[in-house]
Formats: sequence, structure tokens, C-alpha cells
Amino acid sequence: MLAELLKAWRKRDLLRRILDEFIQMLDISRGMFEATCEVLEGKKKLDEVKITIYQHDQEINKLEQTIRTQLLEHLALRPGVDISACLVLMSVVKDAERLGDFCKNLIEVAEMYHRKLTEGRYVIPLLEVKRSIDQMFAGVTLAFAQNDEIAAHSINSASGSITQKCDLLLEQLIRDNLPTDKAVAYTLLTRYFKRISAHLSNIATSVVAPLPRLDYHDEPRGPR
Amino acid sequence: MNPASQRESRAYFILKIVLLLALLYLFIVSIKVVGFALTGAGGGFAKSLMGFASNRFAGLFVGILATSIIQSSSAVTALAVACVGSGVLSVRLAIPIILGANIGTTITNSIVSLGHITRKEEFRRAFSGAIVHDIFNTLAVLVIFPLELTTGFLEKSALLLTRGFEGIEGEKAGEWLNLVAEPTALLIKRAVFTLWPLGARSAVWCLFFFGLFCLFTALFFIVKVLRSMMLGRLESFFDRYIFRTAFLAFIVGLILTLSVQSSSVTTSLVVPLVGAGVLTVEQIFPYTLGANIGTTITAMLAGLATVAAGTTAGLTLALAHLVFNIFGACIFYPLRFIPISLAKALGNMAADNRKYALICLVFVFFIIPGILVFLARYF
Repeated sequence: MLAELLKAWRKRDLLRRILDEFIQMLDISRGMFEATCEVLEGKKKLDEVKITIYQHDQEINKLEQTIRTQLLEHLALRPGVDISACLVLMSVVKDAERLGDFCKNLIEVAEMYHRKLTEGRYVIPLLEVKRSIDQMFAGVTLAFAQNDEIAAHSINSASGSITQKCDLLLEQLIRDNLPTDKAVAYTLLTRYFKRISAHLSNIATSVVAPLPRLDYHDEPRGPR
Repeated sequence: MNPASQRESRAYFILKIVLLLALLYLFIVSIKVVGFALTGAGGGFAKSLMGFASNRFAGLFVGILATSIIQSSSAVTALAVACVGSGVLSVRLAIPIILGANIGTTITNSIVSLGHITRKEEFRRAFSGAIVHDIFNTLAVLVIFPLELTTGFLEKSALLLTRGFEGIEGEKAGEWLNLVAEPTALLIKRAVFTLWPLGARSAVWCLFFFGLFCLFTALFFIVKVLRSMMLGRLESFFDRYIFRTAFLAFIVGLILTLSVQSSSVTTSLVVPLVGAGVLTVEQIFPYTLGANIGTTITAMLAGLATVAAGTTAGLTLALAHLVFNIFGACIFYPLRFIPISLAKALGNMAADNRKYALICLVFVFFIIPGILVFLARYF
């Protein structure tokens, strides 16, 4: 116990610890996304990953609560220090938590829709979106951890592109005459992919946008 | 952190240590200066002060009111120690001032809790968390003050402890402090008496207020410097360790307040966390008790500064302060459900109607002292 106390005493910066925990949330949600997509593609069985996905979701929720508590403590003990950073973290930690929730939603779709994403005209665009999101996950960790504005901008444009593709897919799904189960499953997958991309983009905007404009990367400034 | 930043950080740290030592020196010198002024004021002043303070209810009132206004029990207790050390006030008459200072100091975290007044549930928790300190100190005074009035047990206990210091390192430490601080204090005294144009009688008052100014300034900046040195490190393990157990919370409250030299700072730190629901009143109660004991260090330091050959009265008063806080903790920790329940009840009342919060503060910090002034006529 004393050794732990001394170690923590020397480790001065709570905010650095909070940032590390946030990155951990992103890493966990990335793992969840990859595992869920492997199930959707038929590369893994649902039973192999379902329990792990739910456990990871709980880990993410716990990390969110821990980070919020620590932010409060930081502001109570050192008021006025790093206020913006704290408010940004308070906002993005919600986005990271939503990533976990949407990955859980994806596994629920996989559970209800027993067929794999291997053929059909919707599979290719969905898998393209999935690959783009994979890259976004890798990019957002780098962008946030290292304050890399170039990486952040690239994530935001990737998100814009994913939004367009998903909107197009939804239009096609509405016009198409698919069986109900397929239509619902593909609609939900499209919707969830779009939301995951949006939350990753929100996190990226925190690197480049001032605090009042967090999450507003695709809307014009001022009245139209 | 890169090597250049590390060097800069280390340099700042050393600078703060040097500044801290200088401020502590100023604190000790100011105690001596105030002591010179009080002694120099002569028998008339001492007589009138003794006359006023001979009523111990009035002393309690002075302690509460003075501390509520300047928001520093350390300053008030240090001043009381200086008065006792210079012989203008006896330990018996100064003890109620110390007890009053204990109550008065809790106004700070009560004021902090008012910052949470916007959201009802948050305010309920924050106010309870703040007022529990006040309730504990008030209950401790209600129990121990009559005991002191009837038996003098605080004074007697403190005298016993003082005898333990005599002839051992404690007294020698006091004499060493005396040796280091007295030349500077004498220099200041000579300078004031030489430069003051309005005569020796008023020069004494000039010296007194100058000493007081130095005392407040030193204490203010000591707390600021220590706070800047300590709190950055504290936040790294605040959440994980401090409130895990009651004993740990107590120890951290004690050590932190010893380090920062202000129970107002350390107890008001936790109020926002109680308000946010991160901590409970039950968790912070032992921390508050530790902070109460830790804050006696300033009076102890002032007491050592007043120690000269054969005179340990200032130290006795400081020890009385320590004994009071230890006794209070020993009585009310086992009975903690009383102050905690009262704090929660007041928190509920204040949350349902915010004006009760203000009524509570006015009552404790102004009405009660007023009642004491009234009682002073009859006892």
C-alpha cells in the first residue's frame, strides 16, 4: 500500500492519467467493433464473442464513470487549471461510451439476423464502410493522443464520406423490395455504422475545434 | 517530461521551499513583534484587555467573530498565543478564544457550499458536507467548554504536556527559534520607535498593527505556497486512496492540513466532491477530524516562538488547542451519527428552502456570538 501511495505521489498529473484511460476506452471499443464485424462476416461464431462484448461494454461504462469522477476531483483540487481540457474530456467520454453501446447493438443485430454478410449487393458497400471505420478507429487514437490535427481532419472527411454512403444505402433500402428481416438488419447495420462514424468524428473535432464548436464539424457557421 | 522541463520544475520547487522558509521566518518574527508591542503597551492596555477577556463567554464570542471575519483560525490562534506569550493574557482567559476560533473557521466551507445553490440535490449534499464540520466544532465546544469552565481540564492537561516539553528538545527548539527571530524583531521595534513621528505611546500601536500585518501576510502566503506545492501531487491519489477507510481519511486530513496549514483550505476542498455525490458526509467526517487536529500546528509554531527562558505559556495555550481537538474527536467519532444526522437534516431543510442555509450561517456565526455577549453580563 505504501509503495502504491509513493508511486502515485510521484506521478503528479491526474489529467495525464485521465487521458490514458480515455485512450483505453477507445482501444476497447475498437476491439469490440472488430470482433463484432468478424461475427457479421462469418469469420467468428457469435457465442465466441458475445459475452466478451458485453463485458467490454461494462468496462467502458466503468471507465466513463471513473473519468467523470476524476475530472470532478481535478476541478475541485485545482480549480481553473485545464478547464477546457476537462470540459472536452467530459464531452468526448460520452462519445466513447456510445461507441461501446453501438458495438453492442451490432452484435444484437448479428444475433437476430442469422445470415452472414458475404454476398448481396449491399454487402460490398457495408464492408467498405466497415473498413473505413476501422481506419477511423486507428486514426482517432493517434489524433487525440498526439493532438494531430492532420489526422483529425482526415477522420472528419472520412466521416463525411461514410455519411454520404450510408444515406445512399438507406435510400436504396427504402426503395428496394427486400425480405423484411434483411431490410431491417441492413438498415440497422447502416444506421449503427453511421452513428459509430459520427461519434469517432466528434472525438476528432475536439482536436481541431474550439470548445463551443465541439461535435459541429459538418454544419456551416452562422445563419444560412 | 523532458529534461529541460524537469530542471525547470525542480528549480520552481526549490524556489518555493526557499520562499516557504522565508515566510515561516516572517511568521515567527511577526509573533515576536506583536509580543513586543503588547508588552510595550504597558499595564493599562494589559489591564483593559484582561478586563474584557475576563469574561470567558466574551472570549468565545471574540474567537468566533474574529475568525468568521478574517477566515483564518490560524491567525486568531497565533495572535492569542502571542498575547499569552507576552503576558497580557492568561492561558485560562485565552482558551475560549481558541475554542471560538475553531467554530469561526468553518464559515469558509459553508460559504463554498453556497456555490452549489443552483441545483437542489447538489446543494443538499454540499451544504451537509460543509455544515458537518461546523456542527462537530459547535458540539465539541458545547461539551468541553462547560467542562473547562468548571474543572479547567483543558488548561491542566495542557500544563501537564508543557512540563513534558520543559528540559527536552521542545523547549530548546523554542529557544533556538527565539535566537533566530529576536534580533530581527528587535530591529523592527527599534526602527518603528525611531521613525514613528507621533511619540512612543502611539508607536507601540504602530508596532502592533505592523506585526499583525506581517502575521496575516505571512500566513496568507504560507498557505498559498504550500497549497501550490501539495495539491498538484494530491490529486493523483485523491480518488484511489484517501477516502477508502475512515483511518486513512483521518490521517490524510491531518497530514494535509499540517502541510497546508489551513483547515479551511483542506475542508473546503471536499465540499464540491460531496456536492457532486463523489463522496459522502460519512466519508469526509474522519477527514474533517484530522484536519481539525492538523490545524493546531500553526499555534504550536507560534507557541514555540514565544518560548523564552522560563516562559512557556504560549506553548501551553497551543497545547490546549491540540488537546481540545483530540478530545473532541475522541468524544464525537464514536457518536458521529449525531453531527452527521444533524448535518443531513440541515442540508434537507436548506435544500427545500435556500433561505434556511443563510439563516443557519447567520445564526451560528453571528447570533450565537451575540447570545454569548448577553450571557457575558451575567457570568
